[in-house]
Formats: sequence, C-alpha cells, structure tokens
Amino acid sequence: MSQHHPASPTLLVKAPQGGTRELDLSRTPFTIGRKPDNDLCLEDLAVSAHHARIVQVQQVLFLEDLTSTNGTFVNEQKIDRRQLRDADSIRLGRHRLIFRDTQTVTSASANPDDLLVADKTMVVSRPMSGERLPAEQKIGVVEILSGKSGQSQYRLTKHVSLIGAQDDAVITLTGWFAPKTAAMISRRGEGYVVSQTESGKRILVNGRHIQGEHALRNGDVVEVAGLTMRFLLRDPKGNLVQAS
Amino acid sequence: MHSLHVTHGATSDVGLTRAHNEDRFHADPSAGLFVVCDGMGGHRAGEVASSRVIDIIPRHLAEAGADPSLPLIGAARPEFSSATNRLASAVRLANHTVHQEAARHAAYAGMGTTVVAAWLVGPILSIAHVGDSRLYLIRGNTLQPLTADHSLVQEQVQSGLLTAYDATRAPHKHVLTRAVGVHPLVEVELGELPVLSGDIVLLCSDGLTAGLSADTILRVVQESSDPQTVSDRLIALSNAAGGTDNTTVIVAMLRHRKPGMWHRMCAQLFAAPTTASS
Repeated sequence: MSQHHPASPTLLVKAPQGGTRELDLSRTPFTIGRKPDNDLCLEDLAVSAHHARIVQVQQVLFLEDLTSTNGTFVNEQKIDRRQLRDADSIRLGRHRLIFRDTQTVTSASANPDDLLVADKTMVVSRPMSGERLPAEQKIGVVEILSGKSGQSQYRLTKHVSLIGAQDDAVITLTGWFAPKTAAMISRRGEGYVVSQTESGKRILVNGRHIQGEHALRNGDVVEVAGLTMRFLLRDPKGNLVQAS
Repeated sequence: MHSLHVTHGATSDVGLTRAHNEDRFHADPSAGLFVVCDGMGGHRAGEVASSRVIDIIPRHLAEAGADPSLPLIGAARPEFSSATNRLASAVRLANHTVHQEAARHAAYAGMGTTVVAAWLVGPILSIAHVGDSRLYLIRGNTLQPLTADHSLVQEQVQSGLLTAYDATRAPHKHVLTRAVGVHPLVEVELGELPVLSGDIVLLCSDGLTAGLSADTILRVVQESSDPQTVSDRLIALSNAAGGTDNTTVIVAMLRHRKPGMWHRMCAQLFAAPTTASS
C-alpha cells in the first residue's frame, strides 16, 4: 500500500558522470534499482535490479537494502535498514543520493507539540543496533583457593553464574555430597552480587556470614559448601582493576 | 519448573478516557510466567498486536518445554541462561508474527505493542522487555525498577539531556524507541535476577506509572499480603489519579514452597507427643 507523505522530502540524485536531478519522495514505498520498473532507475552496473527502497513508518522514512549485491551505504556506512535524516548521503553503486527533508525539521522545531500528540503512543524506533554487552563492562573472575571444583579459575561472563553440582552450574562442585545449587553470583549494574539459593547453604564473605544477597568487591573471599574462592574484577582487556 | 511458591494478582482496566483497553496480560503462576503488553495502532489494531504477543509467548515456551531442540529465533546470547534465551526467542517470534500480520492487512499497518515478560525458572527470574511497560522488584523496603523504558525521554535522561522529574512531564513521553511488531526485527532487552523468598515482582503498563509515584506503589504493595487486593487497589488509585490511559498490573509474590526436610522432620518430632496425647 502506498502512503502520501504530507511535507514531501526530496532525493537529489548525482550520477557518476556529473548530472544532477531532484525527485520528490511524495509516495512511498519508493523503489530504487537498475530495472526500469523502479521509481528511481539508475543505469549503473554496480546497482542491483531491485536494489533498495524507501518506506514510511508513521512519520518517519526508512531506507532498506533489498539484499543488493554491492550494498547500500548511508554516510559511508553499510546499512540494511536505516532511518533517513535531512542531508543523509546515500551511495548505491557509483551513484550518490542526498536526502533532503527540510520541511519536517523546520515544522518540528517551530511547533513540537503539534507533532507529538501527547496521549497517543508512537514509535520512532530505529533498526537493530545489535544485542551486545557494552564492551567496556568489567568482568568478574573467580579463583578457587581450596575445595573440589572443576576448574581453578572461572570468568563470570554469564549474567547469573550458579555455584553447585547441577549440570548448568558455571562454578562446579565435584565433591560427593555437593549440593546442586549452593549459591549464585550475578551481575547487578556495574558489579556483581553473591546470593543464597533455596538450599540455604551458609555463605561467608571475608569470613562473615551473609543473609540474602551481598555485593562483591574486588578481592573478596567467598566460602560456600566447602569451596573457598577469591572474587576479582577485571577490565575488558583482562587486567586487574585497581582499587580507586 | 520453579522452586518457589508463587501467588499472584492481576488487574487490567480501560481507564476513564479511552474507548478500548489495548493492554493484555498473561499470568500463570504454576509456569512462573507473567507478561504485560500495551498495544498501539489505529482502530482496534493495538488490541490485535497485544493479543497476538500474549498468545505466542506462552505457546512458544510450552513448545520448547515439550521439545528442547526447538530452534531459537534469533541469535543465542551466551551470557544469559537457556531460559532467558528462550524467552527472547518467544518475543522475537511474536514480533515476526505481528509484523507479518500488519503487512498483510491494511487496517493493521503500523500496529505494535510493548512487552514486559518475567519467567521464573528455578531460582532465577528471566526478564525480557521492549518498550515502556515496566518490571519492578519489591525487596525489603525498596522498589527497584528492573527495566529501563525504550522511550525517547528515557534515552534523554540516560544521556543527561533531561532530568528524571522533567521526563514525567515531557510532552513526548509517549514516543517509544522500540516496539514489538513495528519492524521485521526487534532488539529484545534481557535481564536475569536470582530471586529470594519474600520478593515481590510487579509488572505494569505505563498507565500505572503515569498516575502513581514509586512511593505510592511501594506503600500499596506493603499494605496487603494478598496480591489481588494489591493489584485492584493500584488500578483504583491509577483511575483516581486521572485514568487517562489503560492500566494493567500484575503482582507476583514469591515464597519458599515449604520448609526444608530438616525443618519438617524437626517439626514432626516435636509435634508428635502432642498429637499422641490428644
């Protein structure tokens, strides 16, 4: 279905040989490619037959790559889908397109409340930026000082690390009568906390008995179910975090 | 299967000014699963979006329970448990379904919904959310938000452009930066929390937090040990504060299922003489 865009933005098309033309983006979806059935047909062998398209979601225009061979770039970044903003520079093959949307910018700054009808929920969501941990996050490391465990050191990369004999435990207890779940160490904001489980095993941090949960500091010694371990915070490069 | 005893209360209300309730919820204490969705879209598309998500999430989790080899939708994130990854998979599947349906029917174009889901597996609560429906943890005397809204104002608060107080009054507080069903792919925010006996988990749509402060919510939760009384009271207060939006609340109270075997044995030993003499 095609939608009419009220204050129609434009595309400035710059051909590699130097010609320029301007196109109205009054109707979406607006298709771009080498074949003549596109709204914008680019005679460029580096452009796929159906290369990309511009679609409208509510008040926002998005450029989508249609799995083209050579890719679609916005401001020299390869994109799959990207919200278009005034003055964005789009590259397909050897053609360059400039997106202009002055109308909405001026009207938005003049009268923002008109655009943002207060009670109606709307979305200005952007494409996926990837579900990743922030790279600068510190990583907790546990060194086993004594007791029966599978490894001598564990990196706490999981959100919640279980200490016990259970299959999915991160810090494994290998003794004969080891409890399935003795304790848990979990991320909380920038740091980590150790908490009790239903097993009700006693947890000592630096020799003191804790109830419920307890925030861990660099160098803390934790004892539970016959295991004694030292908790250390490392920066992402693996260096020890210096106490400040 | 979770190890705690869960009691819950859930209430959803259209409010005083809206014609339809576009909020939907799912509450299954035996599965430990609680979900709140706040739909949006023209005509009744918002209800369609939120209803689809509420159907799909429990179904996907149940199917995965029956067949653990069921493929995950989207990439597994190694830092989270398999349960949390499965919950994310369910939200991504729901996103796909809603987006497809919106593309097929002109009347549903642009529909979407928020989602906040909490799933208790063993002693760990898996959390997934998209949009501005929230999850709070009440532990001891504090109310902690476990989700950060995917909204323009929240992003501005996080980047320091807006204070938390101004955010509650901002004219653009209804502008979301993520929603389920609007795009072919959705970024699902995940969390995990080891729960303790006595914890209370509260899920709500933005209608609740529009009218009630965190202090009020905390006070109401602490006033009663019956979760249904708490959720009903919260809705009543939300409507009293204006009721300008649909409001949905789920309150789940987590307790140890029963005392440990040692305690039961002790209790029986000491209880035995009294029963014999009576």
